Parts: sequence; structure tokens; C-alpha cells
Amino acid sequence: MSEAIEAGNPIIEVRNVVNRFGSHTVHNGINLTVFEHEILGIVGGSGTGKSVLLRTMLGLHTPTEGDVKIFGGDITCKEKGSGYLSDCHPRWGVLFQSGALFSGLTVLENVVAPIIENTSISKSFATELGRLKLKMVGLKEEAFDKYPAELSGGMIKRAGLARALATEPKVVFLDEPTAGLDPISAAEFDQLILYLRQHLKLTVVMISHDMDSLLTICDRLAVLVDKKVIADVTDVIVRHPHPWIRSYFGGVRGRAARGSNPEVQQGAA
Amino acid sequence: MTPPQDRQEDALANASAIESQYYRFAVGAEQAEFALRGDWTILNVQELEGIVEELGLARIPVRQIEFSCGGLQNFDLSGAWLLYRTGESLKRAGFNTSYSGFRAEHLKFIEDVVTMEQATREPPPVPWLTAMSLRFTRATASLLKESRDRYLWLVSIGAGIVATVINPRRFRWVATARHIQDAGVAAIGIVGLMAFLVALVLGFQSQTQLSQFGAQIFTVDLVSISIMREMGGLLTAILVAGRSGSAFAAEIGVMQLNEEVSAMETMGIDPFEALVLPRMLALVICLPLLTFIADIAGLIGTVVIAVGMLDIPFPLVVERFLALDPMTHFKVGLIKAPFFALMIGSIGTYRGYYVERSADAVGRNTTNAVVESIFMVIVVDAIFSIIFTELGW
Repeated sequence: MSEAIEAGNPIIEVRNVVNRFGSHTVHNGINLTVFEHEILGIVGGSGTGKSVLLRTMLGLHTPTEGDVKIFGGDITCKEKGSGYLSDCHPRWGVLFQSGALFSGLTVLENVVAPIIENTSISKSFATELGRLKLKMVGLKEEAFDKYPAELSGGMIKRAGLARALATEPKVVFLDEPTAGLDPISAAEFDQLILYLRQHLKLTVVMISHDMDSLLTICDRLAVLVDKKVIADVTDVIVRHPHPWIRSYFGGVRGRAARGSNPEVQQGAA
Repeated sequence: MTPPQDRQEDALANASAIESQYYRFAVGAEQAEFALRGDWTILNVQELEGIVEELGLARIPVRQIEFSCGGLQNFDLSGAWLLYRTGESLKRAGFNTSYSGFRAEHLKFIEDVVTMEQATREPPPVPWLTAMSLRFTRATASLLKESRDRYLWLVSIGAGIVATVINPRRFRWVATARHIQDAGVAAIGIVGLMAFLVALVLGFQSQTQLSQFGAQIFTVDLVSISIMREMGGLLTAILVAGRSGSAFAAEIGVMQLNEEVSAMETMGIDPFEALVLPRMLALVICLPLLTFIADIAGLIGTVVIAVGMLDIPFPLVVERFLALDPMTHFKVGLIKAPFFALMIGSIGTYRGYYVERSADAVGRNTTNAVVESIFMVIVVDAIFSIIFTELGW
């Protein structure tokens, strides 16, 4: 199976998804394909339904119409009790925007929990794997036995990523992974995502507003405009004629990020 | 050594190969080769750990082991970790280990694992005496801190009351009204029903006993006195502690977690003035009124049981009741209510205010708020009993 992994195999397929809340239509026929081994960035203005799209892909939200397929199976829960969704749980990992670490557990216990819940691995071996994952995301050993309330924002993100990677998933979903981090930490986090993608053969779907992140690490971008998705390779999207996309990437902030882009890559490498 | 292991050792010593779905193990004259096959991933790593352990690699006659990984299908960090761990333990036992046949990403995995090796060692266990004394010290320190916090809390409440008396316009009457609605008005139904039922139960129980002496008529005295002096006030306070004490702790606790309290402070709003005092005052106003309602409902219950069950005519019930000097008993019950309210209010708000920043701390503090305030209500009640006995009320 490992030989088969090369960009090109669709791993997530969103087909004609419509999301309506009351009379308010958020998504009107969204089509989006995520390919194996790529980093896809989801971009959109506030209120364009980035989070709803993410929740739809995770089976947390059932779309009004349309299908979502992950690993080839439908997860829109139309057939209740098909059990497919629970098969997916160990195969994907999610980093929520605020980390969503379980506040009653230590950092290490947070990472060990999904391993124990989803596999038959013994507590002691799972603990070893948990420590490995935490070290992998660059957390210091002093932090392992702390509770989430005692961590800084950057540490919470790293711990959350370690937990998302706990069960060796094929896909990780990141909701604003660099939001709230200083530019240096954010650049480090970007490099961490790149590094993990490279060595763990991950597929990454991330929502982000961080221009540096988007332009540095994303292979493709999916932009939510006019209740639809425009998705293409990053370089093409940046030059897209749509007015919103133009003002998004053409604005002062966008230009600054593009200008400093090579430096960021060099500085963090 | 047990027989099965002997057999295995023989097998290894005879330079034959052991094969399975996951590996092929062959011992040659100078070196052994352990070839990994199939999947070494998180899904079967537990099984593999058992297999590798059972194999007893450390008992082979040669000192050189090569791990060849060319035949692997799927390999992830968990599998890499198991391989690395096995290799390390062999190295410690004096073997020379080498790895071959890696595809680039597999090798990278192992390198990653090697550099992270330090992280996966469990910290040494703390000796039990040290652990005990550490726990004792921590417990003492937190007890001292809590005592100080509580003392400061009471001081702040006192200061807040004084400030309000001096400058009543600063007081948040709207917030207070909301809390009177939540803690008082909304509780009227349940308090009344509870007191009514308690009176029925008391009447029922006491008349069976009193009838043995032909003294059923005293049921009226017994029930009405116990409702007015003790039951009305105490049960209302316990109910309010459960309803509102917990609500105060949870509300303020969640506000702390959301940094709403900090936000107030930065805006120059005194959270004490905005959150604590209105709740305290609301309780101090509501609890006596609720106690009054409980008393009335309890007396209605008394009448119901006396007239309905004991066939005592209504005028006679009233006559007996008035002969009891009811105002004294009423007073005794009501005087305690504001003090109960202070206990419930201060403990509930304190527990919310000093919450640690985690969700289960809110739950724990809410529980503590209810338990402590009920306990303190009973303590205060006992103190008042002594005082009233001394006064002869």
C-alpha cells in the first residue's frame, strides 16, 4: 500500500454538498477533492462556512444535500449505524482551533487516550508511543505531566497535534493551526507540518488565515467564495481573477507575506 | 530454563530459519539476520511486541544481528519504535546491531526515533518517603493558601457591604433583581411543595406515635412548632444551597475560565461588585421570604393533616395554634435565614471565583460549594439553637 501513495489518489471527495441553516444557505453545491499526500489550505472570508465544511468532512455535521467520501466510504451518516464513521476515527486526526485538549488529563494522557481507545495496545507501550509523539512535535519533557491549563498557546497547539497524530492517521485536519502564535512559532509550526507530511506520508487539510502558512506549505488552496469552492494549485489561486481572491492575496498583507516568503523558508529551515 | 525455550534455542542454534507472516529469522555462523515482512504498524504492534519477546533474540549464539527491512509493506512510527527498542535492548546486552534494506522514509523514521530516544524513558520513580512528604507539604501549603483566600474573601465581602452602604448608587440593583428572580421567585414552587409534604409526613408519623397516648391533638403543636422553628428554615436553606449555591459557583467559575472576570477588571469593573455582592444580597433578601413561604405551606400541611386525617375541627386547630405563642417560633425560624443566606452566598461565589483553569475544576468546585454550604448551614443552625436556648425563646 505504501508504494501506492503518490499524489493523485483522491482520499476525500466532497460532492455537491449543500448546507442550509434555516433559510440561510452557506454552501451551495460544493465540490472538493483532497488527494493523498498533499497539503490543502481552505481559505475564505468570515462566515463563508470554513468550519462547517471541516465539520462536514469529519461527519460532525450532516449536510443538507450531497455526499462526503473519505477513504472511499460515505460518512454523511445517511445510513444510520453503518459503522463506517467509527472505522475512520483512528485513520484521521484533528487539531481543533483551541486545541480541545481534555482538561482533566495531563498532556501525555491526552495523547495516550486515543491510542488506548482505538487499538489493543497495552498501557505501557501506548505510553511509550505517546512520549514519542510528544517529542516528535517538539514538546519538552517537563511539559508531559502538565495539565492543559498550565500550557502556553504554542504548547497547546503542539500537544493537540501530537494527539491528532497519536493513532498514526493518514489524514490530519488542522483548524487554524497557527492562529494565536507569534510569527516565529508559527513558522516553526509550518515547518513541523511539512516535516511530518514528508516523513509520515500525511495528507493535511488545514483552515488558515495565515498568509505565510498558506503560501509556504500548501500545495493547493481551496477558496470559499460565492457559496462555492474554487480549488487549484497555490500559484494559480494567487493569480485568480475573482475579485475577492484578488483582494485577499493582492492586499497589503498578502504582498508582504509573498515578499517575505523565501526568507521565512530559509529562516526556519 | 523451561522446555519450550530449550527447544527454541536448539532451533536457533541449529542455524535453521524461523518464519512467520511478520519476519524471517535466520542464524548463520557469524551473524543472525532478522528480516521484517508484511505490516509493522500501530494496528499489530502489540501482537508484534509479544512475538519478538517470545522469540528471545538475546539467546542466539552469535553476537551480530542484522535487521533487514526490505520486505516491509507498511511501516509507521509505532513499528519503527518497536524495532528500535528491540535493537537497543540487544545492544545493551552486548550485541552488534545493524540495519539494512531501508527505503528512505523508513530510515528517516528510525533516525527520528533515535534522536528522540531520551524522551521515551520513563522518569525514575520517586521514593515513597519523599513522595509522602511532598504530598504532605503540598496539602499543607494549599490549606494555608485556602485559609488566607477565605479570610480575604470575607474581608472583601465586609468591605463591599460597607462601600454599598456609603454609596448605594454604585450598587448593581438590576443584577440583584435578576438573581432574586433566579434564586428566589423561581424557587417558590418547589420550596412550598417541599414544606407542605414535609408537614404531611411529620404529621403522619407523629400522630401514629401520639395516638398511643391518646394525644393526637398535640400533632398540631408538634408539627407547627417544628416547621416554624427548624424545618422551614433549614430545609429551605438546604434546597437553596443545592439550587443557587451550585449555580453561583458554576456561573462564576465558567466566567473565570472564559477570562470574563479578567476582562471586567481591565475595564475597571470590580468583579466583586458586579458578580458577588448582587448574588449575596439577592440571597439575603430571598431566603427569609422563601422561609416564610415554607412556613405558610407547612402550616397549610398541618391543617390538612389535622382536619383531614385526625378529624380535629378547623376552629380547634386554630385555637391550639394560637395558644402556642406562634410569633416567637416564627421569629426564631426567620432570624436564622439571612445568616444561612450569607453562608450559602459567600461559599458559592468563593468557590466560583477561585477556580483553577479547567473544566473538571468547575465541577469539583460546584460540588464543594454545595457540600460546604449545607454543612455550614447546619453548623449555624446549631449555634442558633444554643443561643435561643440561652435566651429562653
